[in-house]
Amino acid sequence: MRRAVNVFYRREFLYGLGATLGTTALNTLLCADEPSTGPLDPLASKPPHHDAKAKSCIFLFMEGGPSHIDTFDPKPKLADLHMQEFQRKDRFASAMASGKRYYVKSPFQFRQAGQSGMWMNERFEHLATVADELCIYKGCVAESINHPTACYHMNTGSRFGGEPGVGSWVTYGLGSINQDLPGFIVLPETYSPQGGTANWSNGYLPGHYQGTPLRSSGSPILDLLPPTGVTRSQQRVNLDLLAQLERAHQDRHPQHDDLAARLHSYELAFRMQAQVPDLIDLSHESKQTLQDYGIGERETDAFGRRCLLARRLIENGVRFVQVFSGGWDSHSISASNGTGSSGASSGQRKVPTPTMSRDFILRAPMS
Amino acid sequence: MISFHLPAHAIDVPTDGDRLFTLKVLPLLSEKCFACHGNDEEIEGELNMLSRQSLLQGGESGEPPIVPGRPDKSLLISAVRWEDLEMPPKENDRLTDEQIELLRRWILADAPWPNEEMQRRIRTDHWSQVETEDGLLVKTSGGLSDEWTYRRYNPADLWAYQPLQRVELPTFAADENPIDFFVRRKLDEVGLVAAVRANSSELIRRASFDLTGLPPDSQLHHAYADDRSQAGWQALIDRLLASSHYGERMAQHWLDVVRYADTSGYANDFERPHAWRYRDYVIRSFNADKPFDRFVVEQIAGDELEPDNPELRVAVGFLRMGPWEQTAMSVAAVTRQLWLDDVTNGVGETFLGHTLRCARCHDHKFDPVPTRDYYSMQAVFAGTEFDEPDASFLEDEQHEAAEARMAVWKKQFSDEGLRATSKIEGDDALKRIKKKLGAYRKLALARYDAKAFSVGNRKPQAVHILIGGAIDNLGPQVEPAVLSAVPGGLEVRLPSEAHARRLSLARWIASADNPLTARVIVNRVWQWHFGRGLVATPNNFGKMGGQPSHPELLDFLAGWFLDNGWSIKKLHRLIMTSETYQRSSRHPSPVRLAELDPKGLLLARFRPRRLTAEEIRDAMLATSHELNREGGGPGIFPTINWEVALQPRHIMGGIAPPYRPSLSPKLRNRRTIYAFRYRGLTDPMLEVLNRPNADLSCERRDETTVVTQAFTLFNGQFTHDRAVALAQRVCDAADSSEEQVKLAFQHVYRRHPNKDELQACLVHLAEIRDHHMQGSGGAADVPEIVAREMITEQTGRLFHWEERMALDGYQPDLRTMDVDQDVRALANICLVLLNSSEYLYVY
Repeated sequence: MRRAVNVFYRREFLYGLGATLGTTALNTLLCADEPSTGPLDPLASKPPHHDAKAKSCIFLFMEGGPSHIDTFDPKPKLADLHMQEFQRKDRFASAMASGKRYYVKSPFQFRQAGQSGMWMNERFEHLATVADELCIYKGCVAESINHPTACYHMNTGSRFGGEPGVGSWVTYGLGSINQDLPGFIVLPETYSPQGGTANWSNGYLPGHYQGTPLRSSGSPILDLLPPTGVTRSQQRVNLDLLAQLERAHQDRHPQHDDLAARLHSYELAFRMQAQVPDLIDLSHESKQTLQDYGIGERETDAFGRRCLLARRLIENGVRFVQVFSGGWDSHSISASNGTGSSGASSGQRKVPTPTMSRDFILRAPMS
Repeated sequence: MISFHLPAHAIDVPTDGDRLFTLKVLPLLSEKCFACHGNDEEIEGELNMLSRQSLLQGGESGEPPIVPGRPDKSLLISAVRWEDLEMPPKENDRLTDEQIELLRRWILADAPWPNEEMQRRIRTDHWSQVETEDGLLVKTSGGLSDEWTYRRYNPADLWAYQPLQRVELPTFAADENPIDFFVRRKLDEVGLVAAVRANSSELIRRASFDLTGLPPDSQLHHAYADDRSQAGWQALIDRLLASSHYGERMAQHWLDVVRYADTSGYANDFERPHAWRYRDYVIRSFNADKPFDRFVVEQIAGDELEPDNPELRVAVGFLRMGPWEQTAMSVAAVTRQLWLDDVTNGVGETFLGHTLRCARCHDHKFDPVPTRDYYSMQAVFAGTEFDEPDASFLEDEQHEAAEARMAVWKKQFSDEGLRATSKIEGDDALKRIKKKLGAYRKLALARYDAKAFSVGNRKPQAVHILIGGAIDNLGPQVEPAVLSAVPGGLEVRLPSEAHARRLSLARWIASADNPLTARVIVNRVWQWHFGRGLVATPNNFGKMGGQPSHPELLDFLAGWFLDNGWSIKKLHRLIMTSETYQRSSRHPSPVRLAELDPKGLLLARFRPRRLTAEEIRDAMLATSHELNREGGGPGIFPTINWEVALQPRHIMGGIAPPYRPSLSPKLRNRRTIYAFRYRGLTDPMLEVLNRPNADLSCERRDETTVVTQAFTLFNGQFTHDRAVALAQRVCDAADSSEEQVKLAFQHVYRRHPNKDELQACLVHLAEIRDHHMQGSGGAADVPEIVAREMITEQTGRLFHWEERMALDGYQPDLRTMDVDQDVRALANICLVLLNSSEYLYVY
């Protein structure tokens, strides 16, 4: 027996074009009478256990990690101890952290910002303007001082890699709001962060929850477009033939649930080919917005674009967006480049983050 | 004579209430209440709950929490019911109805609170009873607390620790495949009929992919397509089992479990230039049908077993398969401990179906695995050290093209390929980058060295229980031992000599008396055929894993496997000659099936499966006749998406060399198992098709349907290239459109198109030719130079350089622009067929 309703509940990943929370609920209702031959849509939006104001999350990951003592956690005592020598002998300290050591004060001045009097590096001029919208947690410690393992620890909770990233967990727990877009999108630099794609791995969760990177140069999604020379109309004709063969095949295998979902994913892919370039096209944004995000300025352009794109994705119902920004590995140069982070990031830090924060305060009622 | 009059309560026989309090209520109060209402200086609400007296008095509210005999008047009860007070205050900590009932019964029994002496007696008495209504005691080496040591288990959760049950088959079932006997019995119980036998084409394809990971070639297909006899079926199975591709397919399963990769992962992702020899060892072992007990021993202790046998030095590479790094920023003792943890867990999940990781920090929360067992097993590896000994090549370890390949790598990893394109005052960044490249070069050029990625022994370090898993928090020292909950495990004595520890552990694992090992491997093999094991979680046979769907069948198979010399090939034969395996995927009454067996556990029909990532790549190459079936040797480099190949991959102090595909189609188009496996860079096509990462053991492949698969398969260069190659081959052999379509169907599906399909394809072909063929399809140019930039740690400034790809002599696969119009038109049909579910699924 062929069940036409299959199509409503066996779609996976990006299925259900035009689905809203309402239609998702309808789908669920339609399935309620069905024998449970297939799992419910794994990406359907799920209610949280508690009422929550936040529906989505943007995670800005400043890879490299400027020191806490240079950013939000002043340690005035270090000024007294500055350049005093001490010996560190610890069986569990690395070669780099053992032997003759010096206390070093932060090269920066601090000040209190906002009504809360939050401490921050005085050079965080722009961030200071939204201080009262920030919540700073000072309790995170990485188990590893190597970059990839520390990145894994931060993103997946385990230094070994291979476990689900935080965005995977959120999407697993809450589902996706817009069934036409991945629930968890990653916006990396042109390069992957250290440790690579395992930072947004689905780990042992099903593949639906893996982060989908939108690449910042070249094709935003790999193979979004066919090889050069293949026209859209040619693709359409090919897709029509595939659909025809698939339907005949479905008639021969009516008990095979995956088939409808597969065909659907091809149709969706075909539509996305047209839609995704539009989604990431920032040319419709106002001049003011572009300026606020630092787009067009050499040092902030790339990060600003990703931040603005993150906002657009969230507004389009993506549950979790993670933006990676590289070059925050300061080592001995934090003071010389004058910002508490390395050169390329210095400008970045000035602009988009506070803008984004302001944006969401203003837009909150809409989201 | 003096008689002592002891206080009456001391000789009292404990009442039910005393027992209830001691065994149930006190632990509950301790877990849920004492943290805030206990000894602490800051007692919440000034209520101390540590004695009956204080519970009768109450805290600051003045109202007593309990009124003996009157639960309805006891504040404690209404508080835990969240009727007035809400206690414990966190939702997560709330008491269950059963727990509340315990408190209620206790108060009803007058809320007795026996003294500690009586509590001790009650507990001791309780601990001496193996089975009570609360479950079974399991004798282990003991936990960190009595509570853990004497906790009770639901007998159903302990199935894996029971000795194998030898099930006698009734005589009437003697001439049928015993698998069918067990499966049918379950089906009969619920009143389900089974699907009929699948048709020949389906069966040939199913067997071919299951045993070789490749589609049936036309010879194989035609030899058996018309043979419905069981003899023919058996001959087909034997033929596939004898194929060298059999070992490649099985090795793929095994490498998933052991996390095989050719690099180490993490900060540098350094190459393991000899790791490929372990991959080939696994392939050889399966092809030779090495008895599984021997296979176990070789991988854990091959070097102890036969120190001079080079192959066994390779085999113990298993112990180092996980990701690993030691950099200037790591602490050697920590790195060592991480490896010890990794290998302990790895051996547990690979062979024993036990994820032991949990017992690193505490006694296992669910399974009878005390943390002592974890560290005792770890002590087995306390003398094991990494080693790359000389290990001469076996006759069938390939290195024909070694010279030529080495020459290419030499060029590709040459300093000469790097050129600075910007300058930072006072910083020679290029020099550092070259130095790093030198390290990679050295490793790459060692690929053909006759060495093994291996281990050896040294004086064992003392191993302590690490409290909370913390390396600086030493608990008691432990000696090598095995899992104590396994029957006989507590009595097993492992030697403490450095050179026999692993071997003795391996022999315990690979023993017929160990009920875990045989069950675990037969369950894996079952899953390789049916997509789901009899236990759905092959790496975890504990409580949090799955219960077996057919426990008697599992034990029967395990016993049969032992009786048949631990032979995997015989096990395949047994499974595949069952009716159960040969069933059609179409059930005669799907509605009834969905109702009575919604999860498909009863095996009333065959569950279709999608090909795995590697099968898809290999099958497409086979279908287009481009597959180079050569086996063995250092990893080859298939063409992958160029954007990913050139994308910067950050490593410590620089950017790793770009991914460089092998130069000739012959080298590139080998089976995927021979593709060099980076941890830090995955072939995006394979990743999208659910190839797991190599950091965690993969017990079962995901089979998700996601839109990125449509992008990869419908738009990706790989499938387009295969379609062109197939179309060319078809056009070479057939002239008319009709003949071409028919031949394409033969190659892809091994069948003729039906009338509708043929018609649809012909219409499509005409339309493509008349309306959609424009110009020549392009192909990505092979890049010559890749530009790099990096912020240097030393200066914080951006440094630019170029790297030569050194792909001179790169021969692209057949490209669209190289073929004529007819071929290009037909390639569209081929692309569609290669994307179809009939091709990508096994029925």
